[in-house]
Amino acid sequence: MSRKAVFALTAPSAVLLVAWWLWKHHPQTAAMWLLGIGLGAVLQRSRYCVAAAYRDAVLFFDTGMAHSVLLALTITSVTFAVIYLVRVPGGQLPLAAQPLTAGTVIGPVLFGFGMVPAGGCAASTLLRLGEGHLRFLWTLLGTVAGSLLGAYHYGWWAGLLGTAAPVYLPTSIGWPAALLLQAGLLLVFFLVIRWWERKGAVR
Amino acid sequence: MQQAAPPQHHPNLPREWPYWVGGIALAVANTLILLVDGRPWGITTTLTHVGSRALQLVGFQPEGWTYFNHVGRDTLLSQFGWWDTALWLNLGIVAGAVLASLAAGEFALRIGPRKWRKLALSLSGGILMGYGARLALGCSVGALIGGVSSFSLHGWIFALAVLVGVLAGIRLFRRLL
Repeated sequence: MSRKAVFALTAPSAVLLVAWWLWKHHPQTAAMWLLGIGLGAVLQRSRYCVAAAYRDAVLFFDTGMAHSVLLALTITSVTFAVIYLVRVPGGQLPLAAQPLTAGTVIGPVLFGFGMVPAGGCAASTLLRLGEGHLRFLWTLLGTVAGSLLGAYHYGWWAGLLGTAAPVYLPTSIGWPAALLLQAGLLLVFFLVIRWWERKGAVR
Repeated sequence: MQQAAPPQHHPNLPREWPYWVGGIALAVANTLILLVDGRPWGITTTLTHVGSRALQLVGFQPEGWTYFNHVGRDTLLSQFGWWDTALWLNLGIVAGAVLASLAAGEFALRIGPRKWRKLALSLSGGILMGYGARLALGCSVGALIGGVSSFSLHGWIFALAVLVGVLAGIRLFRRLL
């Protein structure tokens, strides 16, 4: 058998074997494993990286990735709205809405700063690791260490300016205004990216 | 700076897929993940849980930290175990990348970094990302993509503030990389 045939037979069997084993313990976990495989495969093929969305736009006026992230956000704004409308009772918060502290602003700045030497975001670290780049094991190890340090210090940062409850737009301003604001913000990001592209084209 | 490995041509797969395919896949998958798990894809919260379990094994008590007690239901350390859905989602992401790069003939074990300087950059970049992600309660995936999609203000703040960090990082590291 050729190497290709061996791969075509063994890879799906291994994936399904793990899925079956997970299914016996926790069916939801098996579903997440399969979703992860599919998503990881497509993201690997399309070289997905949120760090690159920012970095390549800033450095090379290459906005392809930024547009792709914006496309994903536009689609999920619609699908998530439907899911939350059906599943999250009025006045309640979805799990993804997080409280606001000084760290809400400082955290992303540090994260963006770290993405540059790390050569990718948390997602592309996993993808590049899967491609066999063992260099990203060090990034992953660093991310775990940094996460622990950040979790340990979280109380201090939260105490700095206090903690505000999560701002979930549909609860704060109502669904119609939230959808309009969301669409407006996405449009602003789109226009800024287009403006930057044109600036790059002139250069 | 990290460049994609030079792709080798493979008759069955295009050299690489356009970015928008990844964007649509991410949107579809994240919608399914929200349906199955009640929360969108996140990476660093899982890494925090894994690391904290390791700390518990060597005698530390992270479960007493403010972070694990006052933030939200999804940060509870006591709920994290071997069958954690987000853990297996992220293991699947790595496995999916292994399979896709194998199928495309791109997979190769690349030992590295060989230089101490590069190792220090990878490690310190990771530490900064991890630390920042915990303060922000999510990374570029959990807070930015998941937060914005969930109409949460913290996601939009992340999308803007991360740009400040990237600009500062590029300014400082441009000569080093």
